[in-house]
Amino acid sequence: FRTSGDDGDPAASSSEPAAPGSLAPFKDNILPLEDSIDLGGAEFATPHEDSSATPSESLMDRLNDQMMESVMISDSPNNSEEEDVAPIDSFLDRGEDERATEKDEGKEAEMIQGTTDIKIFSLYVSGCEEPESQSPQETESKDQPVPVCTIFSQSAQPKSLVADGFQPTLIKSPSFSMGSDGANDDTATPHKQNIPLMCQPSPSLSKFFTDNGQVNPASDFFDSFTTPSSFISISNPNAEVPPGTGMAAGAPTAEHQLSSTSSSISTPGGSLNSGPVVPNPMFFLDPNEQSTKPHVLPTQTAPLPTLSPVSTPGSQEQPFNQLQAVFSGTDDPFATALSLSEVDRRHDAWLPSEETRKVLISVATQQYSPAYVESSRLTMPGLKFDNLQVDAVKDLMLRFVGEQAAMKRQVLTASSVEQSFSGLKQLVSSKNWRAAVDLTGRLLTAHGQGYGKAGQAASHTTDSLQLWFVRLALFTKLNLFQNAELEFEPFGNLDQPDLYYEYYPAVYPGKRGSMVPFSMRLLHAELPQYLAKPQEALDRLHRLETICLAILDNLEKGLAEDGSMVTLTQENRQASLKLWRSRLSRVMYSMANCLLLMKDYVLAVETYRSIVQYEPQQRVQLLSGIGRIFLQIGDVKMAERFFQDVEKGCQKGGPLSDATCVLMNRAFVYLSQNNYTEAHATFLEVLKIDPTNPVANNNAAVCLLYLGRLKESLGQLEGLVQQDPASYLHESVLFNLTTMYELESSRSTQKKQALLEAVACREGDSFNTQCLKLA
Amino acid sequence: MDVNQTKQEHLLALKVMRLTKPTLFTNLPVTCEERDLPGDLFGQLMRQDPSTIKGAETLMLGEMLTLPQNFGNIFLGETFSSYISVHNDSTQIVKEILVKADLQTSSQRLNLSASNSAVAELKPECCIDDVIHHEVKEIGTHILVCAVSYTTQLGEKLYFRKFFKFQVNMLVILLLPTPALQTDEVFLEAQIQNITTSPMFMEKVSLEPTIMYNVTELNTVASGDDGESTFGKMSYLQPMDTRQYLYCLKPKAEYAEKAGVIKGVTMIGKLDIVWRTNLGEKGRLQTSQLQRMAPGYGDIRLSLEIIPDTVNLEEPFDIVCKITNCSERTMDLVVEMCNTRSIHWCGISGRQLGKLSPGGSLLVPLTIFSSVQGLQSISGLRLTDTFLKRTYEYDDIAQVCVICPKTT
Repeated sequence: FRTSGDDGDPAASSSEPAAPGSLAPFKDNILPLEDSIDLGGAEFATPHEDSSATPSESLMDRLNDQMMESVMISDSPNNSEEEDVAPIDSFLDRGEDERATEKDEGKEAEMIQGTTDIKIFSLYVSGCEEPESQSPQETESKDQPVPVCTIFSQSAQPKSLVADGFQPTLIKSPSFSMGSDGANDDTATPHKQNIPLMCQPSPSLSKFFTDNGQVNPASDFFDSFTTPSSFISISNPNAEVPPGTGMAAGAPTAEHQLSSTSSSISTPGGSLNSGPVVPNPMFFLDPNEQSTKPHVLPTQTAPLPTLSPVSTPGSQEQPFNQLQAVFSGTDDPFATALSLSEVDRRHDAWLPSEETRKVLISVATQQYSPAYVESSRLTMPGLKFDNLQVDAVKDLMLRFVGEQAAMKRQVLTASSVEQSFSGLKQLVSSKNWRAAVDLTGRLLTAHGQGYGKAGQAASHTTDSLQLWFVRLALFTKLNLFQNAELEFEPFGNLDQPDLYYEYYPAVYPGKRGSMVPFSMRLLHAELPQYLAKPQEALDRLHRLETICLAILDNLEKGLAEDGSMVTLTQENRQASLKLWRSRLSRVMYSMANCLLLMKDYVLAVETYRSIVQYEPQQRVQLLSGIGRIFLQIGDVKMAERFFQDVEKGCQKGGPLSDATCVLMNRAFVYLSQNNYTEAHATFLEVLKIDPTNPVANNNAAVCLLYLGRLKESLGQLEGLVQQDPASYLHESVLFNLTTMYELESSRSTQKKQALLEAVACREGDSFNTQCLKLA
Repeated sequence: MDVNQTKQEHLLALKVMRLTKPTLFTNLPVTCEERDLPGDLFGQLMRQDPSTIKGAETLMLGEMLTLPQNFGNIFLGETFSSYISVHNDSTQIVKEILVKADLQTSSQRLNLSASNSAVAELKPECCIDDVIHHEVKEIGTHILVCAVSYTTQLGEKLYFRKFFKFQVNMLVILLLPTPALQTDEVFLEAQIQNITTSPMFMEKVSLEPTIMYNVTELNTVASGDDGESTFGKMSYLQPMDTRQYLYCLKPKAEYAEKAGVIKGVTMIGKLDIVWRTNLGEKGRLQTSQLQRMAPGYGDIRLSLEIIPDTVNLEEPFDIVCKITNCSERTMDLVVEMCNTRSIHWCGISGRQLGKLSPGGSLLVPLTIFSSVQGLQSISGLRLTDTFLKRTYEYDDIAQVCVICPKTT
């Protein structure tokens, strides 16, 4: 009989070969009889019999012993205990969130550690009192040319390069060397002078701007860009100097230059010689000096006279969205400006709360200066996270493929692109979102809203808010929801008076509306749903909906968006109606998505249906989506009803996407009837009309697995990933592929590593490595 | 890693994965407008993402199927499907491979393999695949036992097994007793709770009566086929939601007549439940025959055929009692009425009702008035069998609501 001692020792019992008698069904099987169990325990050498146990008891007994420890289904590590298993169905909705949250927490911890370092650093920095130390900077990379990011002094005096361990000023561009992992770890340590160039720059940036009691550094610094893009270069004479020629641009008069290091950078003075430095308007608006006005120039204006903007408050033009100016690129700057003001009004319109409206009116009527608005009613944002730049793909490469291969991985970093909007776009489109977040951090730091600046007086411009929007949107895209929430916090409900143009009558004369882009309001409203607070998200979305409806109502009544008596041309009114209807439908989409996350399917379906009236061209997709919701619930009949609606609406000879959609829906119905053969055939039909459809390709492969054709399925997916990595190096496909690798052979790890290498060649730092299931 | 020493000694590797339904990939839409800093960049990223719905990228629920993430839960009545893959990890050809998959429950052992014949040979890097299905009919621990035997090139016969354990749970179904009525009708209330973690669509919940009964489902508000469900638009049960289904069973006339009364334990029918979860994953459960202990009527059963629900104060009203002889002998009955504080019987007490043979019944009209308002219980009826000199007392036979009529 089994003793309790036996039970307590799973290794021993698991490796104990079965007593022949206990294995009735296998009695006649070939010897040697052996159990192979997923236990790490050593092989048991001497079989011994459970003579006293009856066969069946013995079997169950034995099994139970082993099962407790060793049994796993699907060979995933955490599946042996049902309690641990997150339910499949909730995975997409909840499980992922949870995992993301966990991940976030981990990151946060990491980051907090980083910030501690920074603080120490900045203390150290502020201990150094010499404000204008201008010793040349020294880096170990003497031979490496060309900084791209520079910090200018606002004043026109010549300045030498920033002297200190301020690495970001020195960037090898555009290619860069990858530091070793170890170097990466060290980057948080500030006193290290010999940090490789690719190290995270933000700590040193924040060094500039933290704990500076005397001066508001924002007024002293702003970025200048070597960007070739017109909107920056026009206002920046330095930009005309080609980057390769040692366009170091001006050096900031950092109050606290820590270590005086000599710079290998060519000619700090060179750029200065090229003329007084004109600050980039982007970061120019100075909160502390009312006289300072942003120099936003229409694209076509002749290069700004080189002037010190501080001294020429009267020189500002009617400010308007700079980007718009760049994009619209027309011949006549004045016509452009006029039409833009229409566009501006249309897009920026918003209805502030009653309280905020009062403040804005009193500012406009000059009852009191904005300076008297209590600070609790002001928006004082600041970075809360520095150094997001972690490349998970590279970390995995180091762990699984080796240092050499890992070195080959090249991704853009915040330092390897222009420190400008175009650099930011480059990072976003190359899917280096972490680096992009870092870059937004740098740009915001230059704007005086850097690390630790939350709660301090800040100035807002269209551009600073756009930067915040991009930063927070990227946090969201990276599933770093908590980070986004924390940094959103100082913005309150995005209704503080200083977030409206009316608050700055001197800077934006006559301009009205919200500086906060609508997309940012939407992001703000959506965010809580990813943080398990869907009710709050719904509340915020409903508030947005109310305002959208009110604006539409105003427009229909013949008023301007904000209800003022402005006569709009018919054309403008139509354009406004169109814009606000599309915004309304976007809000409704968010509501429906939120309800779907909440699993309130009844309301979600209703909301999706109501979107059809606003977006009739999306009817097919919406009705099919509703059908899929019903399939997810298990209500196949209702799903079919919606799918039939879709089919009725799709004429023969209609767009290709309609035919695809109809077939796709049919395949899903087959799937829900457990008819994988037909489902597979239907997905193949989709491929006949749209051979490159990634969804149909992936889904056909999934069906093959359910049909017991693992090798074929694998072959198909592998082929797809090889032939068209752009479409198939997607989380979902890779997840399927790795799952099949695990099912296929014991050597799944090697195959996953091959995938990792494929990913490393193509994907940016925002790639979610979890789908590779390597960790 | 799950590759351990033991396994590497074998030329073949066995992998098992439960095949629950695949899931649809959800994406996370982040958008901006043309005028915003990223311009069309976010839109472009979303259009490039293969998992979004083209033309409606902000729609969260995509079409991309992903394989099941983990084992999940399994419930009684659902189908356990599993992929079994035997892979030749070695560099040599392996012969005479026999893969057996058995499911061991607490009471039996079932063979689930599609075929029991051996595969002649398996080349390196090749697989033997099998997908097994089994509708689970027992709760508790189940163990999937996979056994592989094969012959190496050297003629060595090898054998190994792997065990996979899982628990089968049961949906919570409560059958609630409903108060016994003085009629032949039986009401059955079934409570079903979704203890899974996913929404559950109840495709069918029906009571299949035994031949003795007719059943009326009381789960729609209006009668007829188009009656709106009492559950409104919610066709599904959220996790941990409970739903009550109510059924009314009436004995068929021929049985009611024949037996006179239905005595003792009777079978009334079974509950048939079909549900579906993610992408139509189906489960079906049928209860065993539900038993009903008919209330003990004793020798004589008195039930009310006609009784008004509301009567006026101090105004006589008529009731009709049905008296059934449930005993095996003939009775000779006398009826007596005793007034209570509120109920006053009209007519003569001690009336002879005559002889009543076993199983026979007779109808007795009676008149009462109440002197007290409110809900009054009708009590005080006494039947005496003069043969045995035995008196049966009937109190709280029924209740009527007594109201004060408005004086005009």
